[in-house]
Amino acid sequence: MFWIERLNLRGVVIESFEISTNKNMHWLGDYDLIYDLFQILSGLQDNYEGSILWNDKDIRQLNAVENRSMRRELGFVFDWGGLISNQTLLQNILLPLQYYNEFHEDMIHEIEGIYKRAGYEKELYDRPFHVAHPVRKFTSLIRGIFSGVKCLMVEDIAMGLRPKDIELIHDLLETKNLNVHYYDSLGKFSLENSDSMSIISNQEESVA
Amino acid sequence: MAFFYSWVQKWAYFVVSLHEALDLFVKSMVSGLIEERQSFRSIVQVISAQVYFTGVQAMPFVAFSASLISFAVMLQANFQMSLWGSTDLPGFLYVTIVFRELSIIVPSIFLVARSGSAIASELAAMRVNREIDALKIMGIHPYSYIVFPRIVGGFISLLGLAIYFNIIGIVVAGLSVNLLFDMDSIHLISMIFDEIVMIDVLIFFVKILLSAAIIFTVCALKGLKVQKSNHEIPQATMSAVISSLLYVCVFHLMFTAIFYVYKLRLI
Repeated sequence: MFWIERLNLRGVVIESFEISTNKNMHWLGDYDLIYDLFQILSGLQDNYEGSILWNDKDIRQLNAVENRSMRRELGFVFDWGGLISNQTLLQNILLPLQYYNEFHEDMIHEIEGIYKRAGYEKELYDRPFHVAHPVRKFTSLIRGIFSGVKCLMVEDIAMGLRPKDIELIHDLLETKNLNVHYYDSLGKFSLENSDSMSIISNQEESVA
Repeated sequence: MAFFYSWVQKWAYFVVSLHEALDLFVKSMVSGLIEERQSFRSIVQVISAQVYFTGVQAMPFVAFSASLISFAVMLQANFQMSLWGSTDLPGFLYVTIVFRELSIIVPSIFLVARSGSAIASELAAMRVNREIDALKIMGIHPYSYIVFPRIVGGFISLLGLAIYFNIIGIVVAGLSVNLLFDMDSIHLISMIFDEIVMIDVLIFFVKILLSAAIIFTVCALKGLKVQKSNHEIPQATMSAVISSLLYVCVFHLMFTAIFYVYKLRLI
């Protein structure tokens, strides 16, 4: 669970707000503000006013062990993907698992099965720049889902995916019982799969 | 005044870069060994790939240069022997020129040219493509996952290449003296080993450790300093090659000077 205190996002101040990692949430409002919040939570932006607490500690002051635990609780998938270009798609998916020593051989079969269902089985052994954008997007989502985090924050989950891929992702999220925070310009998929909604806009901040 | 200002600016840049490189080296070691330890399998994969590309692929070039240098030194030794008449000169010259200096500096130059530039451009491209950011958000520490294995792999490669350089060098030296000057190869090899003392071996390891640390840290630093645009990649690569060569040569010279001052004090 994360706690926001007096966080200033481009002039919009969030006084106090809880981000729960135990439920599916749909984020609505100004895209740039939500993007900033996601960037801050992911650790890519640390020059901001206010604070974000995780287990009562400011996320900017966590030690290495605490930071590692925090990153295992909350993962991110941004629309830019961030796949490692000198690794195959399969290697990209297995990367966090191998890094955290959570890899099992049967995971490869599971991933191969998913890619076969999607019709991307050949691409699984290709490198990111050699496959089409929907496959890259699909892979970055699969990497997030398989990364072993408790909750995933996803930017534009359905953007650029085929309907068949969206269905597959939906099934996987249900099977893995993964909580997802959606931040989506299309909104349909996110709305259908969320328990709650947060709105951040330059007018006001509210939680529905 | 302008000359003085430019001189001060260059030295300030040198000191700042050195400080940044040292900072990156310490942080990479701390994160790789203590704070952000990754799984053994993951680290072995990256280090072995690094050793293959840096060490194994450079072996033919190192063998070729070791052969040429060793042959040239033996030719010089023969020429000097004819002037001075000292029979243990080939062994002395081999240890002084090849073992103590060239067997480290030549593989270091190969490493800078081949792997240093590759690492700088690879990390710069990763930075531009936001792959470093992707690692961060997955909780994968870039210093632990990228820099640490490259420094360790670079050290293993340089150590291997320097030893390989000496093996090839000694074999070629033995063959050269035997074929050209009718001297017994075994006698030359025993002369070489008689010349090498404990402090030589110690300085050999220290120089390799330092050279590898300098090359791979400086090149990683230059690559990681790239911000957002592709046009920065060749600039970073060029800067990495020049800086790491400069630092390696300066530190090499420093250690050689320390060694000879130490030897003079013994005399």
